[in-house]
Amino acid sequence: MSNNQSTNPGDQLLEGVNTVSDALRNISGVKDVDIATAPRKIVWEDGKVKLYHFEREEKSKTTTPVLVSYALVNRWEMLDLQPNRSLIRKLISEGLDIYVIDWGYPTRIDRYKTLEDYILGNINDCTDFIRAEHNIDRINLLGVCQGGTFSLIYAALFPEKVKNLVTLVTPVDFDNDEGLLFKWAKDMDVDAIVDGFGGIVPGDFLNTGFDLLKPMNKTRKYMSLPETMADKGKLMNFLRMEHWVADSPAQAGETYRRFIKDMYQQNLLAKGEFELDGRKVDLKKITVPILTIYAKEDHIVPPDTTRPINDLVGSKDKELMEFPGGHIGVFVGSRSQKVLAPAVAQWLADRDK
Amino acid sequence: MKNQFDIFFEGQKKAMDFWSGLAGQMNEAFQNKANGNGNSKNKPEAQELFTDWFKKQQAFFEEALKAGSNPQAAFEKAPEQIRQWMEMQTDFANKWADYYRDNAEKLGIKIPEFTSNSSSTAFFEEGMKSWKNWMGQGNKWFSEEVLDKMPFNMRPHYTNFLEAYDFMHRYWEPMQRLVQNGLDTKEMVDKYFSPEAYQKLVNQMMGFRSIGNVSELIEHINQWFEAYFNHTRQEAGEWSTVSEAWKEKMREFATKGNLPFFEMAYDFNNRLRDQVLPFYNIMAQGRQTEIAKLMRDMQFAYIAFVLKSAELQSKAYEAGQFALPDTIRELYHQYKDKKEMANYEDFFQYYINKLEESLLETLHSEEYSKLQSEVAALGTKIKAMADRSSELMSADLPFLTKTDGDDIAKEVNALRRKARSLEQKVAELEKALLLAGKPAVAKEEPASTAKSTAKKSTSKR
Repeated sequence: MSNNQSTNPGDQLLEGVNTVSDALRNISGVKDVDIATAPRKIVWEDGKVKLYHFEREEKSKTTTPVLVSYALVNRWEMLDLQPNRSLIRKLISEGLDIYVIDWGYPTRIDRYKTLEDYILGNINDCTDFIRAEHNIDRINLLGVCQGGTFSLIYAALFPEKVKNLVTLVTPVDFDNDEGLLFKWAKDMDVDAIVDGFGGIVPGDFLNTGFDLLKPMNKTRKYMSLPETMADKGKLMNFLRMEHWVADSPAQAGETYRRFIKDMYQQNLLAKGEFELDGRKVDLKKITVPILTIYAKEDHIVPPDTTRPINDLVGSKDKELMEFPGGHIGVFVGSRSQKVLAPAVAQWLADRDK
Repeated sequence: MKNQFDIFFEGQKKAMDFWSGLAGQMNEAFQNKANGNGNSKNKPEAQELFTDWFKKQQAFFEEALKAGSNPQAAFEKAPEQIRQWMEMQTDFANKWADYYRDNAEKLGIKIPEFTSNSSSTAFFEEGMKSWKNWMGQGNKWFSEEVLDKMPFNMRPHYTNFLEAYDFMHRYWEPMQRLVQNGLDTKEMVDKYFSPEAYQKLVNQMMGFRSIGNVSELIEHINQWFEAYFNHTRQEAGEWSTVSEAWKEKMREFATKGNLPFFEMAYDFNNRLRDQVLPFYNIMAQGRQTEIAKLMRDMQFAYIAFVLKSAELQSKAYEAGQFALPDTIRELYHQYKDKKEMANYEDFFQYYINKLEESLLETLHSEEYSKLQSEVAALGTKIKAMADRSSELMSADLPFLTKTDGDDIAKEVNALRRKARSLEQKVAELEKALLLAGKPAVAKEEPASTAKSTAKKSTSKR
C-alpha cells in the first residue's frame, strides 16, 4: 500500500517507517473533524430549516446579497468543507454577502413536506426575509445541483424577486441515458420505495446508489490511505470528506416521489409542463442574467443535463461556464478557489447595479 | 501481561534464531559439499542468497528501531511499516525455501527438528505462522486507529476494503506465476482463483451480502414461516403445502437444469402465491386473519426478493469474470517487455480498474436497471409489510403506532402550510399598508379591520 519509488529494500523500509510513523502520529492526534467553520449566524428559522448569514469583516462590495440554495441530498457543508477549500469563504473574500439555506434533517414528521413547501414556502420565505433585511426588491440566487433546479423554478415563478441567477451543476433536462442515476431513476418504482420506507427515504439508501456509480471508487481511495495519512493536511481532507459523505439526510417522501416522477421520469420542467401549486412553471419567464456552470467530467449530473438551461430560459444575458473536473471538484478542488469563485463573484459584481 | 511489542520481539527472536541457525547449517553444508566434491556451482549462489538475506534482515531491524526513541515506540509508531517488512521477509523466505527445497537434499542437508513435526513442510509452516501472526497484529492495530476516526456508517466500507485487499493478497503468489508464464485463460485462472473466491471478492468490494445457495435459502425461509404458522395454524391453514411445493420445484430445477432459473423460479413463486390467496377470502375476517395474510404475503415477497437479489448478484459476477484473466494478460505483456514483475499494489489497482470497467457496462444495461429497481421495490415492500404486521400485533398496547405518527405528520404539515400562507398574507398586508402611507401595525388593529384589509389586499392580487 505504498508508492515507494526506490527498489532498495532498505530505502523502502525507511520510507515505510517515515510514512507510517507520520500516519499514526497524525491519526492518533485527531480529536475532532470539524467542517463548515466559516463564522455565521442563524437569522431565520422555520421548523428544521434555517437561514444562515455569513459574517464579514468588511462591508460587502456588492449591494445585492446572494442566497445559496443547496440540494436536499447531502449537506450544504460541502461549500465550506475547510478554511482553504471553501467556496463560501472565497465568495465572501471576493466581496459577496452570502446567505445559505440549511434544509435540516427531515424525519418522519416531514414525510408530507412537498416541493411546494420547499420552494414556495422555504425559499420564498428566505428570499422575503433577505429583501426585507436589506430593503431591496431583488436578490441574487445561487442554486447548487438539485437546489439549482429549485432556484430555476423559483426564478420562473417569482422573476420580480430575483436579480441574477447562478446555477452550479444543476440538472434541468432529465431525459438522459449517459448518467446512471438518470437511467436508473426511470426504472425506479418510486411509490414502492417511498411507501416501503414509511414516507421517509434514508440517506444511506441514496448513498448506496451514489457508490454504485463508480463501484471501485472507495477501494481506490482507501488504497492510498497510508500516504494520505502521512500528510496531516491530506488526512484531515480525507476525514472531512468522509464525514460529509456519511452525513446524508433522509428525504421527505412526498418531495422525493414528486421529484423522481416529474423530473427524472417525465422531464416535465424541461418540457414546460411542470406545475407547482397549480401554477405552470415556464422557464422562458426567467429573463434575468443567468450564469450556468457545469463540470466537464460530472458523472452525477452530466453536462448534457445542465447545458440546456441556456436554451430553456428567456434571458438575453446568459452564459455557460465549463469547469474541468467532477461534481464535487467544483466545490472543493483548488481550481474552485482560484478560478470559479472569483469568476462567479466578478460576474455578479458586473451585474450588481 | 505481555504487550504487542513483547510478543513481537519474542517471535522475532525465535524466528531470527531459527533462520540464522538453519542458514548457518546450510551455508556450512554448501561450503563443505563444494570443497569436498569440487562442485563450486552452488556455493556463490547459496552464499549470496543467504548473506544478502541475512544482512537485509539485520539492517531492516536496526533501521526499524531507529524510527523511535525506544523499541516499543518504534513498533507503536510503525505497525504498517512492520507489516511491510514482514511481507518482504516472507517473500524472501519463500524464495529461500524454494531454493532450499531444490538443493538441500542434493547437498545432504538435514532439515532441523522443529516442534513435534519434522516434515519439511511443517518446518516452513512454523516459521511462516509467526510472521503472519505479527503481520495480522500490526495490520489490526493500524486499521483500528483509522476506523475509530471514521464516521460510523463509513466503517463497513473500509473494513470491506481491508478484507478484499488482504483476501486477494493470499493469491498473489500464484498470480505472479500466471503473469510470468502468460497463463491468462479463464480456465487456468479459475484453477488458482476459484469462482467461489472471485464471488467472495466481488461481494466484499460491492458490499453484497451473499445469497449463497438459493434453494437452501428458500428452504430456510419456508421453514421459518412454517414454524411461525404452526403457532397460528387455525387462522393460516396448512402451510407445509407451500414448502412442499417449493421443495418439489427445486428438485425439478436442479435435476433438469432449467434455464433461465431465476425467471422460472420467480414465476413459480407468483403462481404459488396466487393459488394460496383464495383461502384467505373464505376465512373469518379480523386482525388475526389480516396478520396471517400479511405473513403469507411476506413469505412470497421474501422468496421473490431472494430470487431477484441472487439474479442481480449473478449479473455482477458474470460481468467481471474476465477482469482477472484480462489483468494477467496485460501484466504478462508488460512483464515480457520490461522483464519486471508488477508489485501487488499495482496488480490490485489494475485489477479493480478492469473489474470496474466490466461492471459499469452491466450497470448501464437496461436489464440491470430494471432488476435493481425490482430488488429495491421488493426489499422496501417487505419492510412495509413487517412494519404493518408489527402494528397489528401490538394494536392493543398503549403505543403510538407508525400509522398514528403518519396522521400526526399529515396534520402538522397541513397546519404548517396554513400558518405559512397566513404569514405571507400578513406580510403582504403590511407592505400594502406601508405603501398606502399607514403605519404597519395591523396586528394591533381591531380584528374586523385587519380582516377586511386582508380581503382587499387579496382581491387586488
